[in-house]
Amino acid sequence: MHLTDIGMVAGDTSRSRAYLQALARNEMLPNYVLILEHPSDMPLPGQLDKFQSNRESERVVDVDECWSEAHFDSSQPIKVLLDEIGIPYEIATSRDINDSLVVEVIRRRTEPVFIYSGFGGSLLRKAVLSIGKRFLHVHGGYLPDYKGSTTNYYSLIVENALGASAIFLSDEIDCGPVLLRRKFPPPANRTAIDHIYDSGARAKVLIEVLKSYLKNGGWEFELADNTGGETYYIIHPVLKHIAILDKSQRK
Amino acid sequence: MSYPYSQSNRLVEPHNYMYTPFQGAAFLQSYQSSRMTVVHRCADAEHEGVEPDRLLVAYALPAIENFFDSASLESGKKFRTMLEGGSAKIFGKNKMEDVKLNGIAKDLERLTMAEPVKTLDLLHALIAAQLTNFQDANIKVWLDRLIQRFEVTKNLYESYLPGFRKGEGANTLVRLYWLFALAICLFYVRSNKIKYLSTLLKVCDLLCSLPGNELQGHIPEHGLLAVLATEIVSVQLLAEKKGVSFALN
Repeated sequence: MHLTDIGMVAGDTSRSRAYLQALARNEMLPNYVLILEHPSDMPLPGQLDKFQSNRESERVVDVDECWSEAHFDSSQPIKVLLDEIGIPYEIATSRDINDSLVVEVIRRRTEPVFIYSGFGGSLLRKAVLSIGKRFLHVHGGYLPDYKGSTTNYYSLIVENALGASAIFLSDEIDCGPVLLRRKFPPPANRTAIDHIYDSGARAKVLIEVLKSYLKNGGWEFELADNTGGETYYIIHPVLKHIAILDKSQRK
Repeated sequence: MSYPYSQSNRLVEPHNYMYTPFQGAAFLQSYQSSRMTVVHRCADAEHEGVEPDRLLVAYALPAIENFFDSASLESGKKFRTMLEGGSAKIFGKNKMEDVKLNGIAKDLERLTMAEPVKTLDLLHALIAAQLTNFQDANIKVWLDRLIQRFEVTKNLYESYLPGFRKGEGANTLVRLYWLFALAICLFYVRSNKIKYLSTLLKVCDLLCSLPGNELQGHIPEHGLLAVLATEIVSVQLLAEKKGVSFALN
């Protein structure tokens, strides 16, 4: 089924691959995809380099239903899938959604809502947030408690859980109204969090939100007032290692 | 394995810490080994010191020791061992200095976002406020603002314009980075909030990355040792709690 009122803006990252494969598997295809192109060989934040994809260390061994969307092919470029399943797409001349030409392309589209899955570290500025479209983003963390970056490593250390929360983006980081949020148990292979499980958790929440949208004929909010919580910054590698090596609560 | 995050001068080449690779327990050993090298040459970098920095260190050491002792006797012992390894001793506080400390702490009340903020004054007040019984939510608010600026720009500026976004003046003042580390140390040992340990590790990466001659003359006696010992012991305690073993003999 094509979701005629939903488009997508995507960089070719692990997360976008997880999203599109999950959308295809669940037969909820966006009407249109705008690909933020990155011509260089150097991977951008969120992209696996070509030697990393599907390597042994990224293997998903979990059979829990909650990790159903983590079983995606992280080596499949999004263009290959889009061609395969026949979703119309265009390639933007910039990797930055805030670029005026990119903003103009989105503004001209008919879809009122865009799933946003750009490169890591880029924030949507007023110019794009004020064009009358809504941007559906799945944050990698449980809101409002964990705002900011790499929060799943922090929540692993603090409460032995990961999270994902679907929001409509606003001008304050991770403060838009929450449509749906879920907590996930720690994955069996913690070395694959960055590209696989984080993406898998977000894809799972995205699918659930879209199913709810279709069922209810509109957007419902689990937490309209997404205030408070703590803002986190990229976790230091020493703490990231402790989160990955944590043996305190393993069975 | 060498520890890469303090290898090149992080004031010149800041690290963005994005998607850092997993390198196993050996990485944690390399971190500790790298930090211990700096601990052993702390005395070369430190100097007699200026006020109120000396006073703040003299008060901070027993305060941090108390927090570690209250966590567990073993924690306090680890901290003292680390300090003694760097020839530092914790002395009792001089009550006469309490008035001076309270005076510095009160400066925090005078700071406002509507006016320019001198970073040195803010850091002194943040540290002093945490070392007195000054109960003020402003401590977290102002520390979080500084952390936000540091995490986004990887720098601390000499001062900030109204609104606390745009920095002005020099951004290579070693004294500011060290005072920032001390302010975070005090907040972390009291709160145990991992977010603060993460930023502390980054500030210590920066301090440890500086060539000896750039460190000299900016940090009072035992000042660098105090922040590094707090950071290392905090990491060790967290790792132990999580069943992660990596300590060097």
